[in-house]
Amino acid sequence: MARLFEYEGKALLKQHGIRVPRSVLVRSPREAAEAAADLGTPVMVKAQAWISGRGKAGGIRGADSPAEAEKIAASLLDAPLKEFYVRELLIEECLDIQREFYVGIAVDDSLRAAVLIVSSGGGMSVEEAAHHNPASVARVPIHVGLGLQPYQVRAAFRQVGVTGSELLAWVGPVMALGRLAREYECRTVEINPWAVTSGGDCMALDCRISVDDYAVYRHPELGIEVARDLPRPPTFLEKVAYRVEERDYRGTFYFMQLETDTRDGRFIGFHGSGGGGAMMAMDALLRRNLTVADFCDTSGNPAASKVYRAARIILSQPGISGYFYSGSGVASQEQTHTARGLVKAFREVGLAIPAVVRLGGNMEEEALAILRRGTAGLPAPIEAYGSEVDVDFCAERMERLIEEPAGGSLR
Amino acid sequence: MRAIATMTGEILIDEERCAACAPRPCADACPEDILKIAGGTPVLARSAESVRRGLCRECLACELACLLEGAGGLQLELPIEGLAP
Repeated sequence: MARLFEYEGKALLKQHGIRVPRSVLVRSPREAAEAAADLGTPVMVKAQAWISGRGKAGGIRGADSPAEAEKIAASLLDAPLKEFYVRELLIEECLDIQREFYVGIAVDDSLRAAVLIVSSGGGMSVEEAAHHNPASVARVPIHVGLGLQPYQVRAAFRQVGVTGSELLAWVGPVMALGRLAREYECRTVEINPWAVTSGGDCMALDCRISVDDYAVYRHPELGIEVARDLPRPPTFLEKVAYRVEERDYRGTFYFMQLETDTRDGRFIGFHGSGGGGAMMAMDALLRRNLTVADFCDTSGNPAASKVYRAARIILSQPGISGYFYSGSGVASQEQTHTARGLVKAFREVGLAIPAVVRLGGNMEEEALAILRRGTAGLPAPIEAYGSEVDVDFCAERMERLIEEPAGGSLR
Repeated sequence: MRAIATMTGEILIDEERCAACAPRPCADACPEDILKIAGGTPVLARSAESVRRGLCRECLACELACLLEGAGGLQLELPIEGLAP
C-alpha cells in the first residue's frame, strides 16, 4: 500500500471539503519558528513519518512559543523516529477540543468491500478501543456498487452513542471522506482523531491514507514514486528498480534495501526467486552471521533482461561483500534466462566480489553450464550449484569465499 | 553499428566484426528465429514491429552465443534509467 504523509492526506481532505486545522509544512528549525509565529502559539510540531504510535514515540509535541517550536524542530529533523528519518514537520494550530472520534474507511478483503469504522474512542488505535470497549466501535460494510450512504453514516455514529444534531453534523464530512476514498482508490483512509471543537466544528486533526498499489498509476497527481508498502520513503535504488518493474510486465521484480549503512559487517547482495525459497535462503545467510543488504525477488518466468537489470541494481549497492542468488529447487521458469541475465550483469561490472548461485528446476543443467562457461575469466570466484545442493551449503560457501583473501567488497 | 529495437532495449550489431565472424552462431541461438544471416551479418528475419513488441524475448541467447563462439559483434543494450551504464 502506497502511503501518503499526513500533510498530503490533509490537502486531499481539504479539497473534499473536510475541515483541517491551519498548518505549515517546514523543513528547518527556523521555518518552524516562523510558522509558529504566523499561526499564533501554542502550536503542535508534528513529524511527518510513516510510523504508528507517532505521538508516543515523541513525534508530536506542543510548543508554547516560536522559540520552543524551533527547539523541538531541531531535535526532530534529520533524526530517526523509530526507524524513520524525519525530513519534514507540520506546524499546526492548536484547537479547543470537546470530543474525539476515530473514523476510517478500509478495504476488508474478507468482505470484498470497504468498511466504514467509527469509534468514540478517538485518539487511540481502533484495535485498542475495540479491546477496551467493543461497544465503542461500529463497523458498517459499504456496498461496492452503491458506495457509502448517508443512512450508514448515521447508523454508525448512532451505534457509538451520538444522537440529535451532532449525529446529523457528521453526515456531510463522512460522506466526503467516502468520496475521497473511492476517488483515490484507497486501501485505508483514517482520521484519528476527528475532533469536535468547542465551536461545534468537525476538524480532522490527523490522517493516514494509503492507496491501492495497483491503482497508483491512475493517480499521477499524488506524486507516488514507488507503489509499495515501504516503512520509509524509497531509496534511490528502489526508485530505479521500480521503474524497471513498472515498464516490463514479464515476470515480477521486487527490490527493497534492508540496509543502507554498510560500513560495518558482512553484507550480501541478495537475489531470490520465489518467496518461499528466498526466505529460506535469507535464513541460511543469517545463520552464518551474514547480513542481507537487500531483498530482491525475480520470479514468474522473468525475461533474462529483467534478471540482468535486477542483478545490476543489486550490485550497485555500496559495501556488499558477496552476491547470493537462490531460487526454488523446483522452479518451472526457464533457468537459462536467469543464467544469461546473471552472466551479462557479472561480466558488465567485471564482478570483483564472490558470488554463489543456486538454480533449480526447469533447464537446470543448461543454466549451470551457461553460468560456468559465461563467467569464466572474471576476477571474482563464482560458484554455481543446482537443486541437489541445499541452501545451507551454499550459504556456507558464501561465507568461506568472502573470508578468503581473494574476496572483496564493492565500494 | 546497426540497432534493432526490442521491447526494453536494442540489439546492437557491429557489422565489421560480424563480417569477420566465421561461425555466426547468433542466428542459430535465437529460439524465436528472429535473426538470419544475410550478406555476412545478422539481419531481421521477422518484422521489426513484431520484434519490438515482444517477439524478441530478450533472452540474451544471441548475445551469449556471440560472446562465447562468435566475434563479439552483437550485444543487447539494456538501459537502466538512473543507473550509470
